[in-house]
Amino acid sequence: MTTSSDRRLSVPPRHTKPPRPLTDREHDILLRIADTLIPAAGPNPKASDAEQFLPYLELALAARADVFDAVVKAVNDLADVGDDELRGALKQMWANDKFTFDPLSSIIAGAYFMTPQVKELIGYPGQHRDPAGLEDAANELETGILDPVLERGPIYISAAGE
Amino acid sequence: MASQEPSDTAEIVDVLVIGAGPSGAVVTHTAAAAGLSVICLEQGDWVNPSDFPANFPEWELLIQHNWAHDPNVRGLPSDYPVDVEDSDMWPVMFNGVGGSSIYYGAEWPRLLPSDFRVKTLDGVADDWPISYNDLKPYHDEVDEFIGVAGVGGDTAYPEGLDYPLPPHPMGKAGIKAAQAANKLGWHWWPGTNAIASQKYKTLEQCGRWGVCEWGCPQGAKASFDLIYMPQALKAGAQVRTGARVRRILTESGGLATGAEYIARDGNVVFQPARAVVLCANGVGTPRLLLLSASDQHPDGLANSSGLVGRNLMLHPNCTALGYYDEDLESWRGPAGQLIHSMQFYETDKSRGFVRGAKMHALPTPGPLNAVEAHRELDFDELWGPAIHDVARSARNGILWAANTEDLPEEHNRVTLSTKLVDPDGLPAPKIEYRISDNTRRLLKFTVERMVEAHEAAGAAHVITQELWIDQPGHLLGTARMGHDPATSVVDSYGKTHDVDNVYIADGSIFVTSGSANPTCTISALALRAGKKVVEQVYARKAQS
Repeated sequence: MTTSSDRRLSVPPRHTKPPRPLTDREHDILLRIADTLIPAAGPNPKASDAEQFLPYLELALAARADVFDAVVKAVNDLADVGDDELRGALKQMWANDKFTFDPLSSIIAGAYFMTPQVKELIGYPGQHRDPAGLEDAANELETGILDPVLERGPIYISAAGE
Repeated sequence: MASQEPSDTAEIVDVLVIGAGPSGAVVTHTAAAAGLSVICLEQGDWVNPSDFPANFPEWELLIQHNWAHDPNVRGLPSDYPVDVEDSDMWPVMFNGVGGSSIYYGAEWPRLLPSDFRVKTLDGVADDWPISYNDLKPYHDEVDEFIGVAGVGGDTAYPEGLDYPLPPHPMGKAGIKAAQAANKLGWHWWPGTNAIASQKYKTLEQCGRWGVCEWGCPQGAKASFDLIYMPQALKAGAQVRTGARVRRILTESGGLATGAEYIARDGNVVFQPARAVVLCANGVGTPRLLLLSASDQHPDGLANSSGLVGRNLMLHPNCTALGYYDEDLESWRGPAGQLIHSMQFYETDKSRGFVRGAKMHALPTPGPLNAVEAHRELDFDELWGPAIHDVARSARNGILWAANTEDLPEEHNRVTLSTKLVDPDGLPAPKIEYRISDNTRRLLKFTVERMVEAHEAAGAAHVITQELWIDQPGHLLGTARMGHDPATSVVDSYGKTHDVDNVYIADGSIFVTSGSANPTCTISALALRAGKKVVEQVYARKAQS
């Protein structure tokens, strides 16, 4: 139980599940939308074919729980749009309703680019601890890259008192 | 049931600090280390490095809302809303121990000598009552305390500038940006950052996570919950979290007696003090002074000049984001500045404006962030097969960004909102801020220079943004310092002209904004103010 005294004031709670599970129908429509926005191209899979896309989609929906209702409404509004018309409908949403399209597309793209398979494909190792070697900075400067700046000398404007 | 009537059983404390950000931490430590009793009141609470979004795979989505810089977006219990209905920009801050240093990039440039003499040199704004040299020893002391990493001898500054820790590597992105600056004949310098390049006191060694502006998961960035405040606690200071101050009280003799705050349980507590130091940032401090209006101070505390809340400066930010054909490993930090350039910092009137900008190059971590940066593209250029290449470009990016110097203008101000209140029912601050013609010309010029830098480096394409509306966390000028009580709120040590034992030690006391990232200067000013507070409290105690 959380009481007012132990509630964290400066840290938002992290949720890993969306406010409610999507229905099967909502789920299917969302995947159709995802595959329209992120189709297969070259070595890149379409969204729903990315390994582990579904658990990451759930995580993405949870991370943007603030727009969950708007996203689900958009999904339901597109329920009856056929595959051939879906891209056009999304383009219309993009043009006319960015307050829905932007979070919807962020959630889908965010989920896709979280999947380990896609991260590897695009060369994104994720944010991680990667401390510099002790000599790395010195080695950069030893190339003489800073010499032109040093040769020009001071550039500040003098004022009384410095 | 919570009581709205203040309890009056608390023991008097020597120094009461309001706000636990950089200035609050410095003042709290300075007073405690000098042997005074100190309480620091903070409306938020502590944050752990393990809390920050980059610890989680969905970090790029978490920073869009739950961990957004804008308190109006994230709306945490520690936050208060900011009424921006009549403002060109939306000030941002973080409310918790460490304050906005939780989110800052820890870029650590000092102001230049000219910044203290803008009226003399350029005929606009005002001179500061102190000079570059007056502040230098305080800078040196803060830099040593927190372990600033950098290369000494920056040619943009007078001689005598050095740092206690070696610099961070610039990496491929920084070197690329530096080579372009060399090609153009510009000043640049390896980035000076308040990020420990080696383990230092209570700071870990930088892990180059690349997410400095969303909280450092390594605990290496000098956010002031991790440096200064731990040492303050060790020296005997108390930090009282979940304490939202609603007013400062004064007695008939004119001195402040302490402050009332709303505690976590909803009860109102009166904390008596011999001296009160406001460290609540350039928006929170004038808000609190205005909230402290009384019969004795009908226009707000320390406001006989009418300048409390006025002259708000926000450092309008602009960017040019360049993408290259080669791999720059731009997911790697620090971010933090890889390099900075002061080439266009000083006034050159032939450019059509006065003052200038400080530019800095940063990495561009995250594929979703790259997608968000491309939102202005046509639908078919981003959504569909194109998205794969856009995401790939994230590791090939360099972000040139700049703070521009906005001049003090009285109509840019903080007042009390008549529409919004915080979770405790206190009026929110209202921001009225309009971008001047001078600033608009400066922004346009600076974006053009940053595009030039990308072109010189061979960027494949560049995305520009002439104004970041929701970026400014540099909250300055709303209780300016000066010698004359008619034209300033505090003296050069942050002591208010009107109330002898009330001080201000945050960015509110800037006279002009410069274009250097301000936390470096805020901290030095806070140290200078804190030492004066110690001296005066001891003197007052001796008299009594």
